[in-house]
Amino acid sequence: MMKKTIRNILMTMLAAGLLAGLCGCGRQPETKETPETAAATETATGTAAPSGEPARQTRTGFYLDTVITLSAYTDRPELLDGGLELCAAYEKMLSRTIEGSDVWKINHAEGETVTVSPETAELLRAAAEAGELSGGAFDLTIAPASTLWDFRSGEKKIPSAQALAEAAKLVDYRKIRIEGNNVTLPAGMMIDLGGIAKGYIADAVKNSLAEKGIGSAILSFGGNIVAIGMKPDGSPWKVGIQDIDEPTGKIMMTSLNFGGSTVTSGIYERGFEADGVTYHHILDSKTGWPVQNELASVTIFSESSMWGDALSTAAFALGTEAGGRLIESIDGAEALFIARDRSAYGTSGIGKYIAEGSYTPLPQAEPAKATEAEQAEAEAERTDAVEAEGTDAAEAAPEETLVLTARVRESDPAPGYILVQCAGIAGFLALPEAGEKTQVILQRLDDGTEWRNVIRMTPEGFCMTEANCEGHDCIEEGEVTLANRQERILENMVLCLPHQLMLNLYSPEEAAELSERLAGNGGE
Amino acid sequence: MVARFGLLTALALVLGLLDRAIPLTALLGGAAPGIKLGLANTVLLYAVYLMDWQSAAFLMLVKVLLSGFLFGSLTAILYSLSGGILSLLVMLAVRKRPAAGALTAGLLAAAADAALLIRNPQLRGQRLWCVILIAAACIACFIAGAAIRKGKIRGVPGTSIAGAIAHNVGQVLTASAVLGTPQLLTTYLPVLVGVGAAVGALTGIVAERVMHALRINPEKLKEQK
Repeated sequence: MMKKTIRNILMTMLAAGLLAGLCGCGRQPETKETPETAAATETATGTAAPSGEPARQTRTGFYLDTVITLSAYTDRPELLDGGLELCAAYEKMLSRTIEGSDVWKINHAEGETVTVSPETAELLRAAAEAGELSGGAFDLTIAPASTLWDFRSGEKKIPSAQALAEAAKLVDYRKIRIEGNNVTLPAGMMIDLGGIAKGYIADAVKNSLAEKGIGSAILSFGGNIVAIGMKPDGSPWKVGIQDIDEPTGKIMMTSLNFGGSTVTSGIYERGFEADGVTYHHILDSKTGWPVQNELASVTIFSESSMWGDALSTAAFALGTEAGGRLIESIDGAEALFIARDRSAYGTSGIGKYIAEGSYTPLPQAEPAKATEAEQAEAEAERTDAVEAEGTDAAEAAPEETLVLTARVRESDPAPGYILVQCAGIAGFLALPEAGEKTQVILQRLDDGTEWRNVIRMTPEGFCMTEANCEGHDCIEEGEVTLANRQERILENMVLCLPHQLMLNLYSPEEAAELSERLAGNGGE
Repeated sequence: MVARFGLLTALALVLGLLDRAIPLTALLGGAAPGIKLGLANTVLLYAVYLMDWQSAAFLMLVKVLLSGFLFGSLTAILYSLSGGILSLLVMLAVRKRPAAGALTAGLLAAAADAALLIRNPQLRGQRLWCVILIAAACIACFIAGAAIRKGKIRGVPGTSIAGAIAHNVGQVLTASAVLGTPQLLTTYLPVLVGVGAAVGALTGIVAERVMHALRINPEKLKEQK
């Protein structure tokens, strides 16, 4: 049983490593024009389609300077070819560099009015609205500045400050006129839909495939990830959030996609470093220089990938605080901010999207009560870094981190919570909504000793599967479920005495009440 | 004298290793962690009965620290030190009155177990545990009543039971303080106390047999040291 568990973990790691490696290779050639690229990568799920279910079919193409991978569980792989054809059609419409495209026509109209396709007009209106929403942080007329930069050739060429200042004067989304399908742009100005077009195309391909009857698919547009439905086994898709310090497809956190969109904008993908400064492709629309703030990447979880695309750029440019407020104000969108120091912050509804990884909730607009539990949580994130099983074969194994929540609300979707207590800290760990999840709890002591416990969670409960303590009594304690906890000697508890680790299983209602009480005690 | 201490320490360490090697928790269905036979306690019993209290305390300290640093961790030392101190104090206190000591400890254990079973009736369904807990209490009382041998080593099993229970109480108190949870006192403690009575009786009988055998020719033993 024990051996089997370990083997399963190893296998998953191996698969994850392999796929992460593949993703890394796949992204190498994707170094051309589109200035905005997300870095979310789909991770291995480690599960094959059950027999009898349609097999997973995959098609890959290269459009809009992006590797596009369409994967679906279907008996009709020709539908995916149709999806790629759709990408090709949109590329001809929206590319800035293909002569005769709608965007090319607008940029070369010298102030004249141009008639574009209804799709282009729709996208332009959305892009202008994104500019409005973000106060210009997202600006579709960034092209005069963005074309001065060259982030792909590898030459570390920094444009002159004067040229950038001149270009920045030509950036103003409010000057574009869109009436029906007629677009007018003042002479000298240029548009670049790189920050939104991929999301728009992703949505379009998704809708087209869904209409044709595909019920389970994951579509990757160089990092914009959109999903149709859930995986065939009913569990959500896992989408890795790229490690900000590793350009090779290494994963820092794992998120969940419930049939929506996951988009990341990061500084690490297209850019270069010169004299200690990272010059990257997310430009400040007011200056034309790369945005220099505390952030390394922003991931947006939303229904529409087009909005996710635009909002990830906008939120990045605005920074954690203002960007967080922007996303909070938008229904159905959540954001994960990863700072250059590797700390992560999430908007209020982010919880359900994060499978593995630690983050701090962004402060809410109403005065937040700083409770002991919340401080404990922050501390937990510092001291209890949680790592995945490292094997030689899985060099790119994801670095997982433990997510402990200080406050549990009854409305939260998890089927149960584990109160994790060790080294004087406490926090709740949510059980997965479906399937199995393995969590490593690693305590690093001052003298370098590592206390490692691995638990396997299901929607019903959890058990300890691995521990480097003496005797492994904590593993022998067996499984705790919401059903059997009354019958166990240790009731709802799994105890690792040598590691001073205590895990208690609670139903969501109990956890909500308990967290309320813990918070109340902290306030006194 | 030094050789005797060395021998006893080595014996305690080896028996400690044997304790670790016997996965009692697993054998009992994994109901509670950290259950050990406590064979190493036979050495301490020997010291309590045949040496003075300073020697016994010294042996206990050396055993706890050495085995902690050699095989365990700082946490392990913390747990066994608190258990060791309480256990030693109790054993020294009751060695002259083992029957009374064992009776008190056994009754306490029985009460704690009964409380556990009354509070959580669903545990009664688990036959194994009922048997263990009740048997433990019975054995404790039985042995206390029959302080087997006369003379200096009278009632070793009784003392052993009291010591084992005290050891477990000390450990659980420490664990509950370290982990900051009183839940251990209501769930974990009754189990450990019951088990303590049972294994205490067992090791006590072993120790008594060993001491009896050694005392057959104590003069020769002294020469060897």
